[in-house]
Amino acid sequence: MENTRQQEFLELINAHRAVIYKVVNLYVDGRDERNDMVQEVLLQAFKGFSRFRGDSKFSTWLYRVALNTIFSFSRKEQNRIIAEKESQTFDDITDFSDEAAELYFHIKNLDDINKMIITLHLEGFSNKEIADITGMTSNNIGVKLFRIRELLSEKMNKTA
Amino acid sequence: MNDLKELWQKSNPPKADPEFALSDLKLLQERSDSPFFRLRRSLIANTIFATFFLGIFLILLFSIPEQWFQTLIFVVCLSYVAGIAYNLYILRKYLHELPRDSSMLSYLQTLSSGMKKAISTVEYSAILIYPFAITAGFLLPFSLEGQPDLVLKNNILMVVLFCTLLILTPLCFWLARVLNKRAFGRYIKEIDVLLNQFNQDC
Repeated sequence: MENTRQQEFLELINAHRAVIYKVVNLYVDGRDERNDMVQEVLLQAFKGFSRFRGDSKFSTWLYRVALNTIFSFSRKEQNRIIAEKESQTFDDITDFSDEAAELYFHIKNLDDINKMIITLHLEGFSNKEIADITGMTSNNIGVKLFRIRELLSEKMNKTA
Repeated sequence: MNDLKELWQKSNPPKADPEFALSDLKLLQERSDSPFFRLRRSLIANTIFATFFLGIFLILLFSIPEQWFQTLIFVVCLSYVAGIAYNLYILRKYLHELPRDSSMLSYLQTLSSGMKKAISTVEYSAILIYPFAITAGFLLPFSLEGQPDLVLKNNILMVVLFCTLLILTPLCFWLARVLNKRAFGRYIKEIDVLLNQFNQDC
């Protein structure tokens, strides 16, 4: 019984493992820290899996667990140093040859909550689903998304 | 500017992320390093130590037949029992389980309020224990010498005991606060920053 449940969890988690890696890469810097966080998300997902009843899509559930796990950890000093270095580099860079890389860079530099909202939006989640994951209202998500998109356009036009 | 979603997909090409295996699940540590779980573990350890000391105090209570000492040790035992019961209450009410799959806002609110309440209640409830523990510690050498009454009969020793209480009680409280702040302060601040971001514009 236990093995069946484990097997079911493994099949689901492997089918959606990109979610874990994407979220962890966006929020955690440093190879070792990322590996640790992937393990932590896996642990929390495994522990919470018995409560997953299939009311929402597994990917929505997994996003919630992954984001909650990441946000329940303190950002290490090292992360800050890396982030500061990246910000300094960004100030110096005015010529982005790759628009996609530039977008990723600007999104990575947003504050944590806005980063989460825009990422979920770009991953194809509806405002209602994002509201379900974050705990905000759909209207609030709509307003925030509008402002984040404006901000990103402004930043990208600036460097164009 | 191209469509953001299209660009996002380009910036995030599908990668060959390694698959998880059954052995990964077996290797998973049961212990989480999250500060929430660290606080939980520290409170559990605290409760175990308190139970251990309660046992020692009970042995002292029955092995040293000095009335004053026994009265104080009895009060200490009572406060330890109350402290242990309170720890268990805090563990159950605030640090029992994290709603891993709830919405982020409610998760962060639970995390922040649970930790703040747990830390402050533990700090303040300890104020009741410090004076008794300090007094018992002060009287212990005299009791072992068979002269616990000496403190009560000697005004100078009573003044010294009073001054010790006046100095050590707030000092212990302050020390506990500093240690808790060092251990969890920055983390709680980060959670509050995240909660503020929910209400902020870009």
